[in-house]
Amino acid sequence: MSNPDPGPAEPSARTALGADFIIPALAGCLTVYYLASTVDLVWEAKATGIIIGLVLLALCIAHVARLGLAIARGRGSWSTGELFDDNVFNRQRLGLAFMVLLYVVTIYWVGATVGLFFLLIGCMRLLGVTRLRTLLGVALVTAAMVHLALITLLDSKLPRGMILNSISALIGGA
Amino acid sequence: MDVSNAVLLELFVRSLSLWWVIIPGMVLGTVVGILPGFSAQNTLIILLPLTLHMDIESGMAFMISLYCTTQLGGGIPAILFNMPGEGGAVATTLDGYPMTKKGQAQQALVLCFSASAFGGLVTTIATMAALPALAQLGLYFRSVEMVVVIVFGLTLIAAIAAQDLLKGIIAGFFGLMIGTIGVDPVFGTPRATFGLLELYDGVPLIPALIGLFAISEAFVMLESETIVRSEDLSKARGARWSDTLEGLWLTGRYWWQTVWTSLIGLIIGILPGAGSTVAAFLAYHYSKLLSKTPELYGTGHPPGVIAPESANNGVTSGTLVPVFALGIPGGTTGAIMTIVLTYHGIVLGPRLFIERPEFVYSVYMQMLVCYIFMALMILPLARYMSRVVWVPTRFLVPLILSLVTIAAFSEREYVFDMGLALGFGVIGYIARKTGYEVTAILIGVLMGPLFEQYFLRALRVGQGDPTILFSSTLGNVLWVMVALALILPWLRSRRRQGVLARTVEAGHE
Repeated sequence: MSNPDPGPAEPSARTALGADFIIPALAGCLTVYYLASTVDLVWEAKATGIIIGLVLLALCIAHVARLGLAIARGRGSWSTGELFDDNVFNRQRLGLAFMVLLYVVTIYWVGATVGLFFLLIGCMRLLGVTRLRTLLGVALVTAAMVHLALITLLDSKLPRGMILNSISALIGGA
Repeated sequence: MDVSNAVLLELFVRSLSLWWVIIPGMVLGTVVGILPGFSAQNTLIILLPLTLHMDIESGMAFMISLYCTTQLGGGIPAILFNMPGEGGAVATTLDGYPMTKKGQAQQALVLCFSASAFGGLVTTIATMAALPALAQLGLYFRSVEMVVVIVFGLTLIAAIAAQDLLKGIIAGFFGLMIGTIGVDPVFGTPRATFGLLELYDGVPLIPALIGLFAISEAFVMLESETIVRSEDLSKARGARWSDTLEGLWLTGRYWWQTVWTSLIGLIIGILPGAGSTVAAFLAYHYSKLLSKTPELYGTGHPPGVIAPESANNGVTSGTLVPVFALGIPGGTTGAIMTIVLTYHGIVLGPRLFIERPEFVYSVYMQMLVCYIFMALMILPLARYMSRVVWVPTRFLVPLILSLVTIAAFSEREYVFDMGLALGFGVIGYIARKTGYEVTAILIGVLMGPLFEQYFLRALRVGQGDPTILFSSTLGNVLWVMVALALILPWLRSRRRQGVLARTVEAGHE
């Protein structure tokens, strides 16, 4: 009696394995970069990275071979599945990431508190909150609480930005 | 590590005086536990700027009370809505929700709270009694053993937490590789820093933690519109005091169940990578296995609520054991606490028990006080906390994203770290979606510098000979355990596949 061979799966039933390559690829690139950037260093400076890197490369190669085999046997496909699909969730994720990035890039000019206010409004709007009062209320309360807790009470060095600095200068504050 | 009764009493009184951080931590922890998606880890991360600013005693008391109460809070939606608020409460749904459907929601809630509080008390006292022995244990671990312990910890996380062993190990070693970025500890030459001065001190831990957990989780969370259905909320209303008292009577009747299942939680909590979900399921499994009425499990049987709840609170005491004894966190919460302790200059590991034993006891004393407060709050909690409303993800996600981005600034006060957190968030999101365990990546990042320190020390002792790693008996025993942790899951999966194939074959015939 032999094991029943299911054979290659239907195209629609194949597991999307393309996205599985991303983490091993990132790990492999980091390892190669590490090895290249430490070539001229003395052994003590690079020994740990080399040991970890070689084990990591071996694991990644084994995993990639396993994935390749699954694809070759028809049990998986190169598709990245829903990870890069053009769907509403991915567009929202991209939008959220862009807004956070914009917040970080402009924080010195806009300031942490004012920027947070706009970031919250932008993110909530993107996720479907439409009531203006809710948008403004949640964003204002959160930004005010963060300002009070972190900047006023804990004296954090979060950038205050041009707007708050101008207001402070106008009312004679620091 | 001898600490007299007078010192213990003084620590207890001092812990009581921290009520002003313990009670807010408990209230916040209960709310966080109830709200699925707002995990204890995420909340601890959001509040890092606050805890880093507190003195170490108050900061730890706040984090511990929040963490312990979250385990309790997670049971509330599990019982009322069949929707666990925390991973550790998944097993609670098995009998908790059927009790609600039988009209015994209030009894189930009291069982959940009392099992959590008394289970936590039992394990905290047990851990405090065992601390001198645990301190001795740490002294047997030198550089060689520590290298193996780190590898063993990562392997266990990969074996237990990850769905795919190979992916789990890749995640762990990827984290270790990230952890080697920065200047080398001997000569100070930069390695893999991408030319960025901000990475010369290595990859900052808080942005890595924030990105890998909070940001990536927020990205995943937005897929669900709401977390709890509004029609289920009506079940939370209409509770009577007699139901509450009946719940207390049931707790007394099954007291032994609380004790032994909480000890299962304690043991699981000490193991790296296991955590409250594994502990709760294991406790439920053994409770059913040893019961005279196993057929009642799953139908709304009180021990089916007690076992997972006391076990997931038992985990809280165990979580800190590897952090204190070896300086190695067993999971995310342990990792966050390690970061805060290190930030405050606490040197973790065996020497902590010699140099600052009172600190270790004070942390457990804070836990004890938290559980005592929790026991006192059972009745009002059961009565009113079940009425917490659901929060839609369209509010949760923006709040989490914005607050954790700001929290990324707190450690070094670099705007660069906020961007780095976003970068780690993207990596964490891809890892989650493709089944690579983010906990393993984080523990790897955290352990990278420590691994390098012990590894180089071991190599120096062995004059550059790597076989030194196989020179100690304890180390070799640990290597065997590493091998077993790698081989056993593989064998189990092979056997399962074999059984499956035979079943398919029988079906064909």
